[in-house]
Amino acid sequence: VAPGPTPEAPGGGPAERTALAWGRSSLAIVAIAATITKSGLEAHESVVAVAAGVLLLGAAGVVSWTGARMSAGRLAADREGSQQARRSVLAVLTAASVFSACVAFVIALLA
Amino acid sequence: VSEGPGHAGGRDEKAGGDDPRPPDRLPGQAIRRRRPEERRGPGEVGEEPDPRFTFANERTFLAWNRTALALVAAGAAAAAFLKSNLSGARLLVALPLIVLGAFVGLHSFQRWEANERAMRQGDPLPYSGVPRLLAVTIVVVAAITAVFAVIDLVKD
Repeated sequence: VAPGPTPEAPGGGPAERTALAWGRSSLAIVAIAATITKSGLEAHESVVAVAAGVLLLGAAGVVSWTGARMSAGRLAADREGSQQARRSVLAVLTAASVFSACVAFVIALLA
Repeated sequence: VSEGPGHAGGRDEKAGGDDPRPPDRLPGQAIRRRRPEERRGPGEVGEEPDPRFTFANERTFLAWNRTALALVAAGAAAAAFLKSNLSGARLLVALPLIVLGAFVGLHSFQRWEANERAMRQGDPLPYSGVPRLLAVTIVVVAAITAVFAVIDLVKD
């Protein structure tokens, strides 16, 4: 049986709240990209820091767009595809956070 | 088709019973070893849960991931901008935060998968000791930072 539309809850539906959470997460990546770039520039590791910042900004774009699209239900028609897409986006976000931790670790040691 | 409790996630209940295999999780152990049938993606097992629960699980993952990013950002900021008269103070504050951020980031994905799998199979959600680790580490780092701040103040 195909699941029906998400029931509305008081104060906004779960899909909207999830889309907003994806937006906040992409903004968090943007913030950490700025922090890493700035701290890297202070440490005279500007090339590494700027490259990492640009990469993280790209990840933020992917996460923001795909996460919001997924929550809006555009991928819901294909349930298997939706599950795979969700797992992929979550993996991208996880990779971005671990990558930023690695870059921050290197900058901290070099600073 | 759901495999049901007892096949993938419900073995804890059997610990100490007639099952000759060792228990999946010992008391106090946060994460147990995954069996081969559990290494499939969460979308390949069980049945689709209520969309509200799926969304809630996704938001929990996002919240954990934001916490990881905040830890990394705090560590990077401490490494770059913390000024102290004590050598090594900067790294002592920054590195634990960054390492914990990487760990929490990885854990958030594992946790999402484990919760998704448990919901699809109708099993209880797995326990995690990471919130305790997170709280203890933040308290310790805050205490260390406070000590350094007081020492610097006295020295100046």
